[in-house]
Amino acid sequence: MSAQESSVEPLRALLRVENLSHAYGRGPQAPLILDRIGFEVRRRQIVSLVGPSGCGKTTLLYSISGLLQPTDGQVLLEDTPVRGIPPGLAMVFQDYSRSLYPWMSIERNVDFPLAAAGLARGERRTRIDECLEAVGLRGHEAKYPWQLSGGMQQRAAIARAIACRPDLLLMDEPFASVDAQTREDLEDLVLSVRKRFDMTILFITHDIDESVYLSDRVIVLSKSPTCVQDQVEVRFPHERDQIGTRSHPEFGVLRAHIASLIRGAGAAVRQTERQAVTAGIS
Amino acid sequence: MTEASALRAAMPAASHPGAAVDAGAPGERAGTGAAGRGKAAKTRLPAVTNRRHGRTRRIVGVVLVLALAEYLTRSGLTDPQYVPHVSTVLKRMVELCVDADFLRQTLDTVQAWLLGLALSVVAGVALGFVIGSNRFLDRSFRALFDFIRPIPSVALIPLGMLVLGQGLSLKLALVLYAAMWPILYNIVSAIRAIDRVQHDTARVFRIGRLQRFVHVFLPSTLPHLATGIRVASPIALVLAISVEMLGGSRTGLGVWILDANTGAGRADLVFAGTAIAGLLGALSNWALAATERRLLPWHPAWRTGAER
Amino acid sequence: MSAAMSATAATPARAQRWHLSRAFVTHVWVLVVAAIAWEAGARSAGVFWFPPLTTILEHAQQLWFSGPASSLWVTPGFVTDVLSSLQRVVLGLVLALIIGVSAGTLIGLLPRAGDYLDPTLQFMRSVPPVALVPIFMLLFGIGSGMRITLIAFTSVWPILLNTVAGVRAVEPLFHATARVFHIGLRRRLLEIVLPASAPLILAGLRVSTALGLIVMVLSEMVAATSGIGYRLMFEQQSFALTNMWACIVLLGVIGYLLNAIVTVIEKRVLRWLPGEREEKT
Repeated sequence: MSAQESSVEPLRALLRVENLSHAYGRGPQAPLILDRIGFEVRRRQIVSLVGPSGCGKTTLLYSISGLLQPTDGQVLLEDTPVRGIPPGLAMVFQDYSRSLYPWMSIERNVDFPLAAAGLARGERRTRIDECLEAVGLRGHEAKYPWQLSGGMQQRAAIARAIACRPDLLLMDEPFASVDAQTREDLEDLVLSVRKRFDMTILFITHDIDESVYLSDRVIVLSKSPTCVQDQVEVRFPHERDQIGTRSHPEFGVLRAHIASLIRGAGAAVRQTERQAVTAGIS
Repeated sequence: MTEASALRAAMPAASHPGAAVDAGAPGERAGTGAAGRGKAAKTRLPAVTNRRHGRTRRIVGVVLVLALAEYLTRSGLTDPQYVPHVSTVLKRMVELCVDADFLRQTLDTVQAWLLGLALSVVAGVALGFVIGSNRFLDRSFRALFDFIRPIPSVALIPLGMLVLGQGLSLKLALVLYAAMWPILYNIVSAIRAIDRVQHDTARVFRIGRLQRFVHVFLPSTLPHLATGIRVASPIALVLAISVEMLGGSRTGLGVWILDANTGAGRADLVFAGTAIAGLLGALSNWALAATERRLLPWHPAWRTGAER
Repeated sequence: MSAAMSATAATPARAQRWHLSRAFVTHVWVLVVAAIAWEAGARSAGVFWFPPLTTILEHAQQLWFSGPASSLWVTPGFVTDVLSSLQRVVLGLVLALIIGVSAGTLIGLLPRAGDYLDPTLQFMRSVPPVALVPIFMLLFGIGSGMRITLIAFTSVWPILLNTVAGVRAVEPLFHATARVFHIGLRRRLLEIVLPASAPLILAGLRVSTALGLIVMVLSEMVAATSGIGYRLMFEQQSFALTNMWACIVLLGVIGYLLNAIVTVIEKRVLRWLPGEREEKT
C-alpha cells in the first residue's frame, strides 16, 4: 500500500451546510425536495454527493452555489452565509455543450471570467496556459467547442473553473455525459487538480464507483424529500489508481454499503438514527 | 435530467423557447404550451396557469398601448386633422364593420386574397415537389431563385397593369408570384428534412409505398406546408391591397382607403381602414397558427422549418 | 452539438478546386439556360410585353451606364434613380437594425414585457406597408426623409420580433454559468446574449432586407421625384415597356446583392456555428 496520507485536514470547515431545506412552490402543502440537510466539507477534501435519481442532488448543489435560494437553512462558505453567488466558488455543469459558449474559442471561454474579474492580461495569459496544460488541452486553445469531443469539452469547462482559483469547486455530475473510458481519465484529472491546485471539491454523481474512487467522504442522500442518509468516510490515500484502488477489497465493501443505502426500499433512514459506518485501512 | 431542467426553468433568467419568428410567425408563442408541458414534467405550476396569465397580460397590454396612443394623440403633439384620436379611429372601425360599401370592397379584396393564396399553394407545392425531390435541381434553381425572388412584387404592378389591365387577374397574378415563394421553400425544406430514420423504420417493417406516403411522408411535410401557408397568407393580403392602391384595380379595400385619402381627405377613415387591413392580416396569422396547433399538436415547438 | 473530430484534415487542394468548380457550374447552368431560354422565347414570341433579355440589357445600359468615363461610365440618371434608392434603403435598414436589436433585446430580457406587447407588435407588422404611405405622407411630407422613415418603420418588425425570440431563447444554462462566474450585465449582454441570439437576428435581417427593398420601391411609386420606383412609373406613362423591364431586372440584381451582403455578414458573425459547415437551405 502506498504511503498513508492523512485525509483529515485542519479542523475548520471550508463549507458548512446547515439544516438546508427547499420546497417547490408556496404554502404548507408545497412538496419538500430537500429536508434539513447538513454536512461540512474541509479544505482539500473531495466530497461527493450520491443518491437515487430524482433526489434533489442538483437542487442541493444549486443552493450551495447560490444559484437558488433555499427556503430554509443556510450555507456557510468560510463562515460567511451564502447569499447570491459567493466569490471563491466555481462550478462545472453536466451539460458542457450548453455551458461552454459556442461562439468563443476554448481559450476565450477560459479567459472570459478572468477578463470579467478585471485581471491583467499577463496574469490571465499565465493562468489560461497553466490550466489548459493541467487539463491536457494544450494546443487546442483556438478551437471552438464543437470541434472537440465531449471529454475534451468537459476538460475545457474544468479549466475554466480552475482558472478562477476558486476555494471550492462544485461539479454537477460532470462525467455523466461522457463515455466510460473518458470518464476514467477525467476522474484522474480531478485528483490531479486537487493535488496541483490544493482545491476543495464537492461533486455530484450517480456513479457509486466514481464516488468511492474519488472521494474522501461520500454523502449518501435519500429519495425525495431528500435527507442525508449516511456519510461514509473513505480512507484511501490521496494517491489513487484506477486499477489498484478499485480492486482493493475495501473498495467493494464501501461500494456495497453505499449501494445498499441507495437501493434501500422504504423510507429514508436518517444518519442520526443509525451508526455511521467508517471503514479503516491499516 | 428532468430535475435539472425543471430547476433551470425555475431560475430567474429562464426563458421559453421562442416561436421561430419570421415573416409570419403567429401571435402567440407556439412554444409556450408544448414546451411548458414537456419541460417541467415533475414540478411547477402547470403550463395552463402560465397561458392564462399570458392571455390576461396580452389584453392588458393592448389596453395600455391604446390608452398611451390616445393620450399622445390628444396631447397636441400631432394635429388631429392628420392624426386622429385613437378613440375616433376605433369608433370609425366599428362603424365600418357595418358599412355596406366598405364591406363590399373588403369582400373583393378578401376574394382575391384567398383565391390567390389557393393558387400559390398549388403552384408552390407542385414546384416544390419537383425541385425538392432532386438534390441537383434544388441546388441549381437556388441560384435562379436568388435573382428572381428579391424582385419586389410591387415593382411588377406597373408592368402588369399594361399587360393584364386592371382587375382580378392582375391581383391574382401578383399574389401568386409573391405568395408562392414561402410555400415553395418550405416544401423543399420539408422534403430535405424527412427523417431518414422514420423512413427506414417504415421500410424495415415492410410498409408499402402508398402507406408510407400517407403515414410517414405526408405527416412530415404537413407542418412545413402549414408554416408556409401561414407565412404566405399575410403576404397575399398585402399584395392584393398593394395592387389596389397602386391603380391596379377599381375595387377593393385598398381603393377604398385611397378614396378616403384623396377624395374626402378623412384621415380618420384612412387610419381606420388601414387598421382593419392590419387586423385582417394579424387575425389570419393567429387563426392559422391556432389551426396548426390543433391539427398538428405533435409537431415540436421548435419550428426551425420556418421560412426565411 | 455533436462531438466532432478535433483536427480537420486539410483537403487536398485538387479536390477543393474540383468541389468549387462543381459548385460553380451547378449554380450557374440554370442561369445560363434561363437566359438563353428567355432570349429565344422572347424573340420567337415577339410579344411586345416580353422583350428579349439582350434588348433589356441594352436599354439598361442606355439609361444608366452610358456615361462618360470621368464619372465611371454612369449617367446622371443612375444617380437620381439608383443611388438615391440605394441610399434610402441602406439608411432605412441600418436604422431598423439598430432600433430593432436594441428594443428587441430590451423586450426579450424582460419576460413579462413580451407578453404585454406581443399583440401590438404582431399587429404592427401585419399592416400593409402600402397603406402606410398616405399616413406617412400626411405626417412627414414627401421628401426622402419620409421614405427612409417608412422603410425603417416597416423593416424594423422582423428584426425586432426575431431579436425578442432570440434573446428569450438564450439557453438558461448560459445565464447560470455567467452568474456563477460573476459576469457583469454589460458583458453578459454583449458577449453572451447577443452572440447567442445572432442566428435569429440575422434571419430577421434577411427578411427585413427583402421588405425594405419592397417598401423602397413602393414609396417611390407615389409622389416621388427620384428613385427606381419613380423611374418605373415614369416609364409606364410612356409605355416604355423595355425600360420598365430594365428597372425590374435592376431590382433583381440589387436584391441579390443585398442578400449576398447579408450572407457575408452571416458567415462572418456565425463562424462558430457547426451547422455552417453544411450547405444551408
